[in-house]
Amino acid sequence: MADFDDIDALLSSSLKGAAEPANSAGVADAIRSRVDAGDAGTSVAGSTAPGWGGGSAAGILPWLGLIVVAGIVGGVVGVTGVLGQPAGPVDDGVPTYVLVPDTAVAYACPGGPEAGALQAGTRVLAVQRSEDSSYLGVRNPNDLRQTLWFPAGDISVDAAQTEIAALPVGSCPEVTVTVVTPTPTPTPTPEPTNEPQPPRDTTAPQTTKMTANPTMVINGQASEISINASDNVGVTGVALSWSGPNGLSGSAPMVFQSGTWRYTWSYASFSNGFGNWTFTARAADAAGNLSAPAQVIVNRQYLG
Amino acid sequence: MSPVVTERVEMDLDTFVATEYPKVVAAVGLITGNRQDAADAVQDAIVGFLAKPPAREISNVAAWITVVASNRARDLQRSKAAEARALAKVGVDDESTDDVLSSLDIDVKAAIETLPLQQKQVTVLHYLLDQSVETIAEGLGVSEGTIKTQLFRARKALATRLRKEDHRG
Repeated sequence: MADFDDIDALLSSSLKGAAEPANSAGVADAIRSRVDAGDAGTSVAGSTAPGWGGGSAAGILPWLGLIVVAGIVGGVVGVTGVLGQPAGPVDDGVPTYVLVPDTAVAYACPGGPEAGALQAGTRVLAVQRSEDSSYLGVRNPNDLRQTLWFPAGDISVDAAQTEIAALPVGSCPEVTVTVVTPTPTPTPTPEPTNEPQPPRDTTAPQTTKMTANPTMVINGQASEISINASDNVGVTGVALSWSGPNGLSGSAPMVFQSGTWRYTWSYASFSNGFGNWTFTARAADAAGNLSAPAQVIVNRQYLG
Repeated sequence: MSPVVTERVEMDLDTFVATEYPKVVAAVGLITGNRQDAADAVQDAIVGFLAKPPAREISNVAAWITVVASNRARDLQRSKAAEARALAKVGVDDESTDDVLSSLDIDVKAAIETLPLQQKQVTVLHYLLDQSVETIAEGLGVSEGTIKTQLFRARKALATRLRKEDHRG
C-alpha cells in the first residue's frame, strides 16, 4: 500500500482552508416554498447516487441540452449580416438558430399567450419543440432559466431537420376546465383544438443574487440592498421588508435600476437598533405569484 | 401525506440546512470551482430530495446531495462554457466566474482540477467533510471497493503531481 500520509495532510488542510462555509440564512424557507409550489428540483430518484453506476439521471438529462448560445448580434447591420446566412453549429454540436423577422413575438408555450419579443438577429438555442414542430422553444437570452416559444417560421435554422426532430417535445400546461352549466344535448361537440386558451400564469418569479452593500454599517450609514428577479411573464415589483433588534421593522418597495431591484436602507437612531437586521425580498408578477423569500443580513454597529 | 411525515421532513430540512448545508455548498464549490453555481445546485438537489426522495432511505444525505449537486453544477458549467464560446463568436464578453478555488494552494488546485469528477467528489467528501470510505459508500449506494478505488486513484494522481511540484520547487 502506498504511503499517502503527506498527501492526506496536505489535502485535508488545503481543502478546509479554502472552503468557506456558505450562508444558510433563509435557505430552508426558500427550499420549503419551492417544494410547496411543486418544484421538482434536481431528481435524486434511484438507490444509487446519480453518476455512480446505475443511478437515475432523470431530471438531469433533459436539462443537459439547455445550452444557451445566445447573444444579441445587435442593430440592423448585424441582423442583415446574419439573416439568410445562418452560422453552422457551434463547436460542441449544439444547434443554433437565428430569428428572422425584425421583432419576433415570443409565446409562453406553443399557441399560448405572448410573453415578450426578441430582436431579429438574436442568436438563440432551441431546446424544445411542439409536438408538430410548428413551434420551437428557445432559451431566453435575457433569462437563462426561461423558455420562450416562437413559431418555427420565425426562426432561421442552422441545423439539420433531424436535429430539430430530436428535441424534446414541450407543450402548454394542462388547463383544468370546470363545467358551469350542463349542456342540454348529450352529444359532445369536438372543440377546435388549433387555438388553445391561454393558460393562467401560475409560475412564480424567481430571485437571485440578493446582496447588501455593505453588510456591516456604522451608526446611520446606508446599505444598498439589491436583488435580481425574473419571471416567465414579467416581474411587476419586489417588496422588501426588514426586521432588526428591539422589535424594529419596516418595509418598502424596491426600485428597478440598471437591471437590478434596489433599495438603500439606513437607520439613524443612536439609542437602539444595533445588531443584525434581516432583509427579506419577494418578487411578484402581474398574476399575483410571489417568489420564494430571499434574505440577507446587515449588521449595524455603534461607533461613539 | 400525513402531518407526521410533513413535520419530520421539515424538521430534517431545518437541521440539514443549519448544520450540513454550509459545508455541502463549500464542498460542491470546491468540486466545481464555482460557489454561486454550487449554492444553486445544492438547493436544487435538496428540493429534488424532498419532492421525490431516493428509492431507498439515505442516512448520509450530505454525501448524496454533494454528488447530485456537483453533477448538476458540472452540467451547468458545461452549458456556460458552450455559451461563452458562442458569445465570443458574436463579440460578447463572458461573465467572469466566481472561482472559489482561487484561495486554494495553486499546486493543489491544479492537481485537483485534473481529477475526473467522481475522484473529485470522493476526495472532497473524504478530506473536507471528513467522511470515511464506509460512510461515503453507504451514502452513494455503492460498494466500499468502488469508493476505495476512486480514492486510491485520486490520492495516487495527486501524490504524483504534488510531489513532483514539491521537488521542482
